[in-house]
Amino acid sequence: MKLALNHLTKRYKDKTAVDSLSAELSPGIYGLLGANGAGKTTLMRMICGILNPTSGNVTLDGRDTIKMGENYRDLLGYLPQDFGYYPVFTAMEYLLYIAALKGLTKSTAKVRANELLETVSLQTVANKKIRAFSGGMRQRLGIAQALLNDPKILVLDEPTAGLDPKERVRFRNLISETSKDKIVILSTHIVSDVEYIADTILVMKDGRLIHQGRPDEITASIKGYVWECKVEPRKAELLTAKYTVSNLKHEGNQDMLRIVSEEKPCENAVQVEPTLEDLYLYYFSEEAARQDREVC
Amino acid sequence: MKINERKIREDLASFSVPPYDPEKMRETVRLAKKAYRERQATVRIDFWQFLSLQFHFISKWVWLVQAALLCLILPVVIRGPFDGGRLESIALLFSCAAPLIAFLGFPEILKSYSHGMAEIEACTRFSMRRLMGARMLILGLADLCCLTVILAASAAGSGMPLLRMILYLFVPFNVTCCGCLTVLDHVKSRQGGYICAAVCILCIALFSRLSLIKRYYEAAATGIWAFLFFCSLAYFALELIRTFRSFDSLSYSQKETLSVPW
Repeated sequence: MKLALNHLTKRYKDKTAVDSLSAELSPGIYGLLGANGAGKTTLMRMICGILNPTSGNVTLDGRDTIKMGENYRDLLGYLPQDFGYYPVFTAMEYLLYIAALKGLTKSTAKVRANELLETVSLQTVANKKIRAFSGGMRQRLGIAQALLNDPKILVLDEPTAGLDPKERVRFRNLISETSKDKIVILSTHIVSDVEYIADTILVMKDGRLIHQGRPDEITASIKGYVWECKVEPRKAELLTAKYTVSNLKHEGNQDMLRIVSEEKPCENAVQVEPTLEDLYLYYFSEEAARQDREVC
Repeated sequence: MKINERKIREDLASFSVPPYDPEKMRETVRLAKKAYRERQATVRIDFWQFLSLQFHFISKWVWLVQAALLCLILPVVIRGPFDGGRLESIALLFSCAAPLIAFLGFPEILKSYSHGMAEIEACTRFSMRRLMGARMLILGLADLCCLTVILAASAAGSGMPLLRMILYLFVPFNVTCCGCLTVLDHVKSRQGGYICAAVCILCIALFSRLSLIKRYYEAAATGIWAFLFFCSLAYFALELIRTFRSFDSLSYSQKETLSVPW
């Protein structure tokens, strides 16, 4: 199974959300990293066929997914970033409703719904109204609905939003377990969510794919740009203002800084192994600062 | 033949089950069940089965309110007050009931958008169009049943010509449907439901006001009512097609087109 994104472009009036993006995806877990506005959600919507690309197309084993229609949607599981629910539905009714939309027979739907409610630890509240659920419970229910039809292509947009650390670990394990022979694409801001489970990381910036590879491969691209140094608090303030600091820890009367920079930030700085979080900061610290300024 | 039969009997009697590993037998049963379930999971329902399932997912409130409305209207149309040919009474009743019946289903049709479910629903096997089509079909048929019951009861109760009754009932219904469909075509959000409610109130007000003017409901005005009926029906059909096509659109920050084909 090969899902190919062929020069996918999505243009709005004054903005190009996705710019001639090409990639070939085979079964495995793909972590989509990018700052807000990088085009991740637009890309995912185009993969799911709910947005028409301005140009380019998505093909599955050479067949245009739009032309495949319901045969393609049959293979699809999708969890949008912001999804709603019918408040009068119970968790079980919600899953049965989505199962009906996915074309599952009544008996299969019941079996799958029960299995998935157990998987996402909601079996005890299966008959409770969704409006009484916490954000984390709703998110877990959303994950369950995406898995109902045992999809071959699973697209998850910010799946861990609202989940506590324990739930996030459980989610990662669930995805790892269910990802066999599937193409799983998950976008997130939380780097650690994809660091451990993704086979391939796709880094998006301004609608383009700027990096693609195994986590260790793409972190290697910033090898030599991550530094650690121990400095006095006043000096630490200056360094924080000048460089991208990925971590700051107080150690006695000194501060230990982890800095992402192409140049050596201070005399006693030593190079350390980069992580995916360092890579994210290397590429997106400007965007984060810009967003902060916009908020202010 | 007899020898063969005897031999078969002897062989069967002397047959003993060869020794087997119970664990492997259990494993075989488990795998067989798994294979059966996997096979079942690939079976998909057709549109008519989908339609019948959707019937159960229509909010109970819609049926309850519709039933309550019928319970309120039917005693009035059966027992009067139509004494002395009080045409205004029946016209007033139809002017209030028809727009209400027409409006009732629209929040239910809109619920995918008002509850933010459209994105999930759009990328399932039965696309947005088929889901909306199913809902519109179910609710439309229910409306038609309600109107037929009211019409039958009114015709029996008032003794007025059926044709005129159809016109007096269906013109307000069609006009309200046209208004609500136009809203649905352009506003796919929670606000759409409120605007539909406003359209319904406006139609009730308009037709109630008209019902107070007797000459509009006399036999001489039947031609105008028939003209209104066909015009509203034509617009209704046109708007239905347009609205149906518009279910390909999801309203993100910019107007977007769904690529889900019918």
